[in-house]
Amino acid sequence: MNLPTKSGWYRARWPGYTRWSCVAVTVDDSEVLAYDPGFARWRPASDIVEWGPNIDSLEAEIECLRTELQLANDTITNLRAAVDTLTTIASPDCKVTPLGLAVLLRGAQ
Amino acid sequence: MTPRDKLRASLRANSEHVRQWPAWLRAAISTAEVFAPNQKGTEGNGNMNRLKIGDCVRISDYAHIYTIQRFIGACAVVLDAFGNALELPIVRMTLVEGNMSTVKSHVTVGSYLIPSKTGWHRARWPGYSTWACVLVTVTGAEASVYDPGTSRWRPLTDILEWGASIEDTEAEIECLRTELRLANDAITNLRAAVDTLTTILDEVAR
Repeated sequence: MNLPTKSGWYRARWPGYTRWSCVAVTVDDSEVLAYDPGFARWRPASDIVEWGPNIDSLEAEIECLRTELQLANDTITNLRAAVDTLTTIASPDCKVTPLGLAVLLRGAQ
Repeated sequence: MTPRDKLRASLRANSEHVRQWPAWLRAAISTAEVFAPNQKGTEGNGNMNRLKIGDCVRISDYAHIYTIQRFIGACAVVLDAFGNALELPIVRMTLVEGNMSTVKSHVTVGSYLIPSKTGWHRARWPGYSTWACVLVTVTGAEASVYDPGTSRWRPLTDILEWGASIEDTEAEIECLRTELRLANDAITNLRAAVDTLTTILDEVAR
């Protein structure tokens, strides 16, 4: 991922470490700095080997995904009901006149 | 195995599980000051008269939600979202509005709000309104949080408020993405089925 463009907490990997940590980043007009707790000082963001996502974005993404999943599950429920209805209509036992069928199909569409 | 035997087995397993908790976690759970006050009712027997079998409850300030199965004196046997039974004190319970399905999203928090494993967690330090990320280390009975301000490790109770584990959050995102992808595939298939059936019936109608 690219260098952070706004202040906040980010996933990041320090030089010499394989594990990801979280770092506080501050962005102003001239520079992007990352706080290094090991040295208790701010360092240039370019000292970080690899940048990950913004932590606040992760939390927002979870909310977004949960909402999308809820909507998708609602759509699946509606479509299953439509398939059930159409299957019932299509069965030989169902006595629907051609006119009634046309009305039902307009409703299904 | 009868339902009663299953419940007994589950309770035994849970007791064993609690015995394996690190000392700091058991200490935190038994320390009244770490618990939020009940949202409804005050304390003591207030809950006894209010709660009934089938109610959904939270245990103090934990994110987990349980369903009450039966009462045993001052405790209630509750089931968690995965069907595990636990015997917990009624006085610590807070009634949750809705039912297990409407509140299910809260159950996705995988661990107690007090961290029980090493890793990065969201946390709020005393005197700060913004959330930070802190490194927690859990080794045997010892658990501490690193304070970069003072460059030293401090007890977990020094944190004002705990949030989710960052690793758990990332794992949940992956899980939700997969579920969403599967749901979208199902929608595509169902739409194709609706189209096919509509076409067939359209022909019949003509």
